[in-house]
Amino acid sequence: MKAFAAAAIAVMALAGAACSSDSSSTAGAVDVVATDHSCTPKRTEYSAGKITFNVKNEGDKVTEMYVYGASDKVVGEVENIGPGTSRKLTIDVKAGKYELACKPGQTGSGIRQTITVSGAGGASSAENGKASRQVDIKGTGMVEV
Amino acid sequence: MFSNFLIGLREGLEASLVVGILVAYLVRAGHRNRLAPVWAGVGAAVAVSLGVGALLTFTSRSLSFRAQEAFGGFMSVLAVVFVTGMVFWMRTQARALKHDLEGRLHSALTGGAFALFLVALFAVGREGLETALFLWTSVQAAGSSTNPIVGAAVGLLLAVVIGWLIYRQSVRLNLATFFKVTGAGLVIVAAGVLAYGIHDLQEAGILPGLNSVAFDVARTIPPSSWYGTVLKGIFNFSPVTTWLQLVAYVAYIVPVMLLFFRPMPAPATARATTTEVPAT
Repeated sequence: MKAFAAAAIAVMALAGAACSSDSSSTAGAVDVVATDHSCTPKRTEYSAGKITFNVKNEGDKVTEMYVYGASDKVVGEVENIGPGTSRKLTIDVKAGKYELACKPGQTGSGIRQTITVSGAGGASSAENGKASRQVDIKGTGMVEV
Repeated sequence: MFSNFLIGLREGLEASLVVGILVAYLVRAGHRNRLAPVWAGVGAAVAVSLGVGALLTFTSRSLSFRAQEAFGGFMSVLAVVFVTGMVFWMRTQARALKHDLEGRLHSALTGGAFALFLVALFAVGREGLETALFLWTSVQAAGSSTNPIVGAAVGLLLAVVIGWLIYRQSVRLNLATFFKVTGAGLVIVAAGVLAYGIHDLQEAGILPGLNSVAFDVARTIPPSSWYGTVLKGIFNFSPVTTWLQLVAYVAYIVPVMLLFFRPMPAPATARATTTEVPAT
């Protein structure tokens, strides 16, 4: 029983360790300031590969941020960013155009901000034949920026 | 502060519910001595989650979005498997109790120690990493404002208190009712966890259909409202649900509920249904 228990904990720890081993030790995180009405990254030009965003919620609502490729293909998402807190999101992307979408209140299609990624490398691409999402019907009164 | 409180409550509620019922069950069946593996599972899940969460928050290490979603998804599916197993295990135990077969009960429980550990481990560990990340991030923000951490802590604390209240109330129930209510409750929670796990796996790109949305009631039930929080916390109700989530939910809950409520095969001396389990 003890051995099993130890094995189970080890599996969980390994899962954590394995994941955290794809670390981006050098690249600094790029701040994205999210309020209830805006979504402002510190810069909009990036080079391909790992990008870490540090999403700061300076609004009053809980927010989340998505990174979308073409046709709203989900490239990354970080949720549960409470007011006054910030959370990191790491994506690994190829060159292309992406959209950051901050979602105050964690609903709707979000406040969008286009970013451009250029250069070689990266794992996920902006294009994906399969995913298509045309729904933008849940207008929650938020403006696109 | 209030919205951070709601996140804390939501993240903690479901695990607290499962552990509360599990503990109530063991106490009710007269197996307080079996509580150790449960607490060990809870402790292990909390420790590992906080550890990994701290690494990701305070160091430059990062977990890719896909890896994090895949981890959450697989943990959820495992949690469903173990909680379902536990429900049916409890069901056979209820029968053993009914016939007062102490010997059988003990033998079954010997095999159950590791299972108990795993149920607790997965029930808590499933949302553990996400909760730990949320918690550490609030700690990090404490330099500029203590509101987030106070809100988060109070929310988690309330979740634990609710779990304890459920334990307190359920141990007072009549034994037959107790097994029915707790079992059915766990099946409902597990179905929600399954749907949630499916969504994580869809986000990770492991399962298709992320954008085939069955219904979207985010405007009626905002995730940030208190009722949205409670629905999410207990039933894992997601205002925007994909078809695959919905199908998985129904395909799980219907047969499992039917199996759970099917009449027990009655030995010659026993009465037909489990409703007449004598209170012990």
